[in-house]
Amino acid sequence: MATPIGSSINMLKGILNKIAAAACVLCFCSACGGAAVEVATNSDTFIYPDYAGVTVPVNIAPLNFHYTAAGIKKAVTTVTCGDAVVEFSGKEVVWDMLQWKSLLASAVSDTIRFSAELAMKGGDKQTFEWEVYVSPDKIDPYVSYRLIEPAYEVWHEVEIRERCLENFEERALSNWQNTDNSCMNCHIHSQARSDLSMFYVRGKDGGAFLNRNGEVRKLTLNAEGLVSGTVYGEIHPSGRYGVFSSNVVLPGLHALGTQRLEVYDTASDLVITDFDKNELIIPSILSRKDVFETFPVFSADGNSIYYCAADTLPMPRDVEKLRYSLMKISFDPKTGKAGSRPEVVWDAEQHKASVCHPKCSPDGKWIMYTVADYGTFPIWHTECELEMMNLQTGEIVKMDTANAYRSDTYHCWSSDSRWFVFASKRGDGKYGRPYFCHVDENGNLTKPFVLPQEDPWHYENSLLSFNIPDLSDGPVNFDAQSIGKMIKETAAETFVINGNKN
Amino acid sequence: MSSVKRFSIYIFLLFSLMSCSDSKTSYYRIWQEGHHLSDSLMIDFYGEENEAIENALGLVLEALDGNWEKVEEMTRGSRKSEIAAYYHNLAMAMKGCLADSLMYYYQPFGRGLFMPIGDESTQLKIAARSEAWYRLGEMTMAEHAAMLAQSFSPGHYGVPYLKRLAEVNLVTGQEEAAKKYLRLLSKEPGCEKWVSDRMPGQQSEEVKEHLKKMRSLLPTYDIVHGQSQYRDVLKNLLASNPDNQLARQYLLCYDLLIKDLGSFIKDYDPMRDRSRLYDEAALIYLALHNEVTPQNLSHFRISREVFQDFNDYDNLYVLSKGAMAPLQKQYGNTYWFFYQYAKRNTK
Repeated sequence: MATPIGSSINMLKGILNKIAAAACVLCFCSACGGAAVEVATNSDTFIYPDYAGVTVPVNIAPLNFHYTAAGIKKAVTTVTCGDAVVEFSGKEVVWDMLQWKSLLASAVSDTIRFSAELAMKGGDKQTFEWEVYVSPDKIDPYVSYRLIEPAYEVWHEVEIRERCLENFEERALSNWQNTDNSCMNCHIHSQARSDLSMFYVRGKDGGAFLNRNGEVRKLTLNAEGLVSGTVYGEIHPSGRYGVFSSNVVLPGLHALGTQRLEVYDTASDLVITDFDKNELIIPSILSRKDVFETFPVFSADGNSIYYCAADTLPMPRDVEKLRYSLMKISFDPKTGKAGSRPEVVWDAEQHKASVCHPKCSPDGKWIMYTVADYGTFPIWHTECELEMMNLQTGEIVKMDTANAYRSDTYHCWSSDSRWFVFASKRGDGKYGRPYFCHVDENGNLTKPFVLPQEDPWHYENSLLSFNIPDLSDGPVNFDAQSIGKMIKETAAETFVINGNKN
Repeated sequence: MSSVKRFSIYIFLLFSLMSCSDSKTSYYRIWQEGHHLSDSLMIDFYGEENEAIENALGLVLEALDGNWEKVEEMTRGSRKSEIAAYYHNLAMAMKGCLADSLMYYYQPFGRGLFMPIGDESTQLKIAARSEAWYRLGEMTMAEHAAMLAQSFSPGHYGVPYLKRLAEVNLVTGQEEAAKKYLRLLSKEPGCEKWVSDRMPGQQSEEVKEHLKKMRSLLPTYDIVHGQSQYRDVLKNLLASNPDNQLARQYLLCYDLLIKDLGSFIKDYDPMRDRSRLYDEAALIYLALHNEVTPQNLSHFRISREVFQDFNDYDNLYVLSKGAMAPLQKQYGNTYWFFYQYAKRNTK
């Protein structure tokens, strides 16, 4: 802060006239911002990010971390795997990339053992030991997400980024600078394919950006006859079709301070898009006025559509009574038509809960979804958890190993169905972060780990949420500049509603 | 210690003092430092340092620290400023005299109590929005507003928002979130004591007392509401805690500022809420509904003096054929005049 020099000198003269001048000055200085208050972080774990006991893929980026206790005078961390021994000094452990890669390569299907000795101010010593298991199952090397402040429903300067999981490289796929500060929705891939993905940029020059067959198209997935534009959905494995919900979405705030935001629909139907014919198909069975239909996805083989459905209720008055069931209906990829007989896969009344965000594993074995007490948008519901069902047996797998006491939502399978990523607000409860979890062929899970960052303090310092992390088997073929150019120069392709509703 | 080394220390201390001993607080500079902004960014976003911006930034900062006497002092001379009206009203309400002071200050209708957010909102107005909700005990709205203020600030960062976010989460008992913000604040110059006083497990008695008071205001009933459903939110606060005096003043004065006399009469309890402003408003309501009867005057506890003034106002209105000037001269500080002549600034 700029200070009038004269007054400071006069003050100093006054202080120097006193016998205890030096002591006074020192006290004054320390109150003016010299030493920062040391604050312990994440008191429930001794390291952050909490990598103790996690399983990581063999191709993951270095797990940099720091110790969380306040008052550490000296810290020594010893890492061993087989004959390899690496030692770190200091309360932050930051790996050299080559050293980490070499260690991982030697630790496949093995554990990396960590031991730490912390000398605390005051003379105490603390010791910790933990392990990290290295799975031979590689994870798809890219994840994309939207970075946004968790300011409920309002955005300002958001972007979608793509991060390489094997290192710390990250780039913008679309950002506010190139979109006239428009809102953009998250980027989704079909079965983690980098050559088949989509996202929306809102605003007058925006549209749905479809990345398919090496080409990016700008589409208007809206037409008179839909309750609104398309919102949630997925691309068919063939790439020809999409299935989307068309929702009138409204946000509401909870009066109780820990609940925050409720987002609800006052109308929602499903629509199938034919990307080859630029047609919208509205199946009457999936666009009933007495039912809210939302969150549609295709089965792994593309022959069914899973979606969530609830009887309509007055909103927001009855939002706490609103419970969605998981439904399934057949789909014919030859005609683009849905079947006529929906079946209940997961009954909301039976479970006294509400389901959302279903996602089928690419191997066709599992469907994973989020369960909350009520509603359709539970990212602020602390009770909401991931759950999955074996599609061959109907057995439900509780996912306690992956779930935490904060909301766990918006999951995405890897292309080989051995990993999934999800957004969790565990920790501070406010900021969603991408966590990765291994799942074996029997549905056994391991302790998830957060996306590694080069800076071990990244998450503590960040005021952004990672929205809808989505895995990809490679980098996509566009970036923020090319999207910005399309926004400015390319007219969106229009779609028409197919006259023959089914 | 060598003389050279000692001299170096004195030089260091001198410069340290020079950077710490400002005799007059420059809110503009505090704001700039707290947002990590360069001079040029500060000018781009907030304009050159001048009295108006200095005053507005000062109001945000002083209110955040709960310095209501200072807020009152700083708003005393201001006229036709929504931010000044917002903080002036809040300072008056904190003293329990919002109703009595309402008509003695510029009132931009409901915007004098709540800062609405719209496409035209300035960052400073967004930054101000959190204060009233926090003091009322509505932590969702307070947190929402602080998040928005941070989002719309030049660097998506600012000490005032971090402080508010920390406070909100301390009040609602979400300590992990509070500690995140406190940790960030601990790195900010001048925030050490603020942080250490609030750190869970080592809070000062003053902070403990403040948190206890704020927690007593928290709603116990849940409703889902939109951002502008002020009445619903206030009524919910009062349903949970009928002794929330700030919410009570805000509810009644909001009704009056938006000229919703029907709601006012429903919300008003003449046995509990006493102010000449309320008497004046009740008289309009009774007159509009042809219900000025001795029984109603008694029910609303309207004094003979206020009733006589109302009749005099009415007579002058007829005599002056509705001309504003003579009425303003004599009754410019009455609700009658506001009700009849105040017009919304649609710009």
